[in-house]
Amino acid sequence: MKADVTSNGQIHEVDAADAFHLLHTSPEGLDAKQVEWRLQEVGPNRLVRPPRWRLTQRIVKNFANFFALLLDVAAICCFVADAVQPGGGMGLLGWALLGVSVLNSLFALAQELRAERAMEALKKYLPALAVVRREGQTESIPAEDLVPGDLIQISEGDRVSADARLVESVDLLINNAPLTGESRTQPMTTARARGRLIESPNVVFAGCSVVRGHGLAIVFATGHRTEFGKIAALSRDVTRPLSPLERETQRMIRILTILAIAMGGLFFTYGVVVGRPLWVNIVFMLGIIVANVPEGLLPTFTLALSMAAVRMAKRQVLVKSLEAVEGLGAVHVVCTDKTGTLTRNELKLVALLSPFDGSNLSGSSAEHFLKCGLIASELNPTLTDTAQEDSSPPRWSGDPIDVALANEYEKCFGTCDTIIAHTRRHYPFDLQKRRESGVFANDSETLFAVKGAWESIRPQTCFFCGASGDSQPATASLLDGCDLLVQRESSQGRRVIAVASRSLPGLPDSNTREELLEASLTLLGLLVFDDPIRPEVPEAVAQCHSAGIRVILITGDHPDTAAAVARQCGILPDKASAQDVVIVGSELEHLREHRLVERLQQGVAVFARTTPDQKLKIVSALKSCQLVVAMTGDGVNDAPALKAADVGIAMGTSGTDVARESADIVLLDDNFASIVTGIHEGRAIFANMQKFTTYVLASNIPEIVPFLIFVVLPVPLALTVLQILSIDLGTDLLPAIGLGQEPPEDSAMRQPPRKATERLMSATVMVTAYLFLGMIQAAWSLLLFFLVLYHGGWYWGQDLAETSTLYRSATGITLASVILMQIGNVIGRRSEQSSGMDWGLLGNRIVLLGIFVEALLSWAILYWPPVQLILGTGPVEPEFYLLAWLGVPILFFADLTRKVILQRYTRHLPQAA
Amino acid sequence: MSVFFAYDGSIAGDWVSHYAIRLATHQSITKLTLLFVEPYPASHVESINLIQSSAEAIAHNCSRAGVDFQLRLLKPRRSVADAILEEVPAGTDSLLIAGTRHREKQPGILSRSVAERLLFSKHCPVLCFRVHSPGILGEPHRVLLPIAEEGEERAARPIARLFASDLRRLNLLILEKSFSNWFGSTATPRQHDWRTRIDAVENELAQDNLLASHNIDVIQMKTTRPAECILLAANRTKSRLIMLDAAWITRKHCFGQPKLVEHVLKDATCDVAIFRGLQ
Repeated sequence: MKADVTSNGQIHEVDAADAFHLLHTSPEGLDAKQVEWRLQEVGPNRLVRPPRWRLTQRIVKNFANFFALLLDVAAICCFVADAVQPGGGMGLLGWALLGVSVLNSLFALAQELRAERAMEALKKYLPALAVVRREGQTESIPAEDLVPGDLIQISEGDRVSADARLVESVDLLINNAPLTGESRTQPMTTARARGRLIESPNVVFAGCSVVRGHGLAIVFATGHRTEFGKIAALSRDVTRPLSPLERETQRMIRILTILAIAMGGLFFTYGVVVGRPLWVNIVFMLGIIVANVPEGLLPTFTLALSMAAVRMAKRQVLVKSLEAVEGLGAVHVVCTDKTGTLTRNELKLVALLSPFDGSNLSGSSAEHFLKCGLIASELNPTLTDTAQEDSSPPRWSGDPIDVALANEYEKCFGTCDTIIAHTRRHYPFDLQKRRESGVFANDSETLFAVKGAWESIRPQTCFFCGASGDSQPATASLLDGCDLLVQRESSQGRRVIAVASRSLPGLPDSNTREELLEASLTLLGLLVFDDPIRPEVPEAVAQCHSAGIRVILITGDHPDTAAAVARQCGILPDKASAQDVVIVGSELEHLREHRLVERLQQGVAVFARTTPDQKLKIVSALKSCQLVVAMTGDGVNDAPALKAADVGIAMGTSGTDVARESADIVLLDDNFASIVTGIHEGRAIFANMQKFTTYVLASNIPEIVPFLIFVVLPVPLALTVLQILSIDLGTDLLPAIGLGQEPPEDSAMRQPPRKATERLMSATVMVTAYLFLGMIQAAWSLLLFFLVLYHGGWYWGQDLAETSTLYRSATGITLASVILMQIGNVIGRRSEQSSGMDWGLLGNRIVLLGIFVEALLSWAILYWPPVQLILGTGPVEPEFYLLAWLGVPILFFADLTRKVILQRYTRHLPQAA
Repeated sequence: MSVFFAYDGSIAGDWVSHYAIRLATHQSITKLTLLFVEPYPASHVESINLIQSSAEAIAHNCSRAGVDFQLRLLKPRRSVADAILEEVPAGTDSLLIAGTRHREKQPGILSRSVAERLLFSKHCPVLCFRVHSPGILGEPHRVLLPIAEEGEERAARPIARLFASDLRRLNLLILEKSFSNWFGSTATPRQHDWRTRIDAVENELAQDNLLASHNIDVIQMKTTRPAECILLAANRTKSRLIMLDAAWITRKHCFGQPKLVEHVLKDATCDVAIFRGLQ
């Protein structure tokens, strides 16, 4: 590439002194005119909210979906009809239809209006005020008024309000966790730096916190142009994809709406052509539309999902978005974090290894080794009760590695208070150098000790310390031997920390840079830490694999460690070559998306040394393969990936508010095995939804056919619109909800995920519901209708008043028989392979209750005056009621026969080659 | 190419000057000519006073970058754009850089501005910058180039040549209009055609030693709202500069978003440059 003669670089790559004029400011800060102009140009320093029209759009969308519009139009027609011809019950019907429309919309809106709380959670990271120097004066101003060029002062405890280049820094330590996910603090400097801006130690970023010290910095980015603002913008703008269930529901609604409008329009036209009064045609059209639209179906969906969510909550899976319940059941890939999800996040020191031969150190050499490790650590005493028991809380707090070190020392060699007290200086962990150090000084010795990644300490190592305490020069073979030792331990999933030290003649000056002390180090040994995997994880991963679900591990750890943990969990087979199945972050950075897709298709299962922002790239690549993706995350910068995934899963214990608000599901125990529980539950939901969809749609036919024959033949209307609603919104609801609670079948996790093309309202569902079950119900109910009419003296072509006793009895028996046959329907729907009785009728109490309600209502319709009055029905001879009950076994056994024939037919189909 | 920078004396112009200087360092003639149109009715002396300190600062930055600096004060003409275009030699040997309008209570940032006139003049290659993050100092490192029409991917080569070593990663965003029918399905993109053309561009860049293929990324998006996609892609790819072809200003019917460029200029979280005539 062409090289530049002079390259200033970006703001972190220039000297602090040059930063002033490059950012067009001065050590006295900006004046009022400059501030005003810049504020107009770039806008205020705040995160950009989602547009207001977005909420309005959601509300309109939920109240203007096809079902709602259809019902609203029908309701308006009813009100008009009632105004023109009052007393016909049309007003009541209109209110009923409007109530259904509003109910359906409110259910859906309640889901949508789960406020965009991720944005609110993000705003908590930004301070309200900032201390700024302007025109030579220091003042506190609203952080929103900051502009590029402003000089901000930051001190311990502050949150940074904008991205700024440090020009003064005194012992400054920053926690960049919101941006990088790295919980370790970063020491800051004003010196120029190379590399990426986001990793620069001379830039402070908005949303990050000052742990120690103070400094002065020049703002160069504000509002949504800060790195934090970009995460917020991504979280805001990445649209959550429609869940598989949402897509299927929308499709189903469209189909049913088309059917309803088509049929209604057709028979309206027919009525006009044959000369029926316009009024009558409108009523018939309304009736057909109402009969076609399963008004109770959408609330049943929501209730079924809600009850599943309650069950999942009891198993530590908190569902924040109901569609995620079913979404989990459709998942093809689960992308999981390592620490805390697959592992317990309990770092345990398992070995102190000699750098010579990897043998365990003991005695005085181990004590000196651990002592130097403590010198290079940062520990704080915790407040403990004076009356300590055996299970007393730990004495130290800090990084888990440092705490494990202190606990080991105290277990073997007594209290480490003296060591901590005499550690005069600490150089915090440096993310880029991957090591930290400290200086110990007492009356007898002064020691400099460093601990960190072996590859970062290796260049400064000049001596190796033996078990007897003697030092030997670090030859090439000794260094190579240590390399092999580290690799051996890492490949077992362990974390290896090297400890080195050197003696100092005296306590160095407080301004002495760490680099000057890191020379001629003596390697003392290797600390080996283990973070055990959760015991239930391997089985959970095995369940995923047998269910056809891929598990992908994404971690910031070393690739050898990641591969080892993946093997222990069963994500990687033992013999898989790491090269083929592991991608490191640096490679991922340069990998084109289509190339990443190819690698994923070839079987990559581990991503190591990744940064949180690379998760979004992985999600995009997986989704471009038409896969349903579940992604875990816990940090602020995981929010975009959590939103982009089909199912975002946040950690409940270790996760941030932002991650939890962006996710669909929260694991209350951070345990991977809980995801598998959710998947099992989710798989049952789709199958159950098909069951109750079939159940509900079946009763549409006996509701429609009376209208059709009424229009075509000179016969009375067998069912009124109000009676139809009593089925759709009354008796059908409870059994449908009960079907939604059927437990998952054992084989659910031994089958691959359902295909993306599998429909909720498939051809099978429609044929079964409309052309089989519905037809049987229509035939039997109309048979009884005409039997009652003929028994009462009616003759073909005779008009009957709606208030006549005979008519009321006839419609009553029609309604009762439809309701009773739904009992046979609900039992049959419990299983598509067997009768449904073999599942144990008493096993599902809601179904049982629904059956009871249907039976009771069928009696009340015919024989209880209050119900008769409302529904316009009347009593019949007992023998007719018994005939209505006969419809239950007729439907049940017809359905069973169909299932048996179908099974035999599919068994004899030629197998695919 | 000779680099000309149309400067208005504002702080936004100062921020854009970093880009002008950096682009000048990559030319065979490392020279930056600063053009300032004297505001009417200010006199020549008044104009010099107005711009002196800013021009000195830019001159100093040029000197640090090893770029020769020249200031030319232009007499006002019928319009500011006319005055500038008269000064700049026509043809592909000149590169004209400008900033966009200051965001006061104007209806648009680009609409009916000097920058827009310069872009549509077809006088010479033009780059108009809007700087949101002055800390970049004209070295974006990561650039996003949205593409919608066949042939637009060829802009990658002149862009890579322009920015040279200041460009470390080029992200190509291929935007395709999505369609939906009654049942919600969308048309699938014709990946093979784009892949072939992108491969050709990659090979050109690699052969010219401008950018290695592993530093070029391609994202495809189907959308009915390309402005949002561009902003989203810039965030996702951590691009510091969005390069928009001026054709997007008049591309009203492609995606149904007539004010796409204004939207991007206003809401981008990084710097934006509109270009025309780069070869």
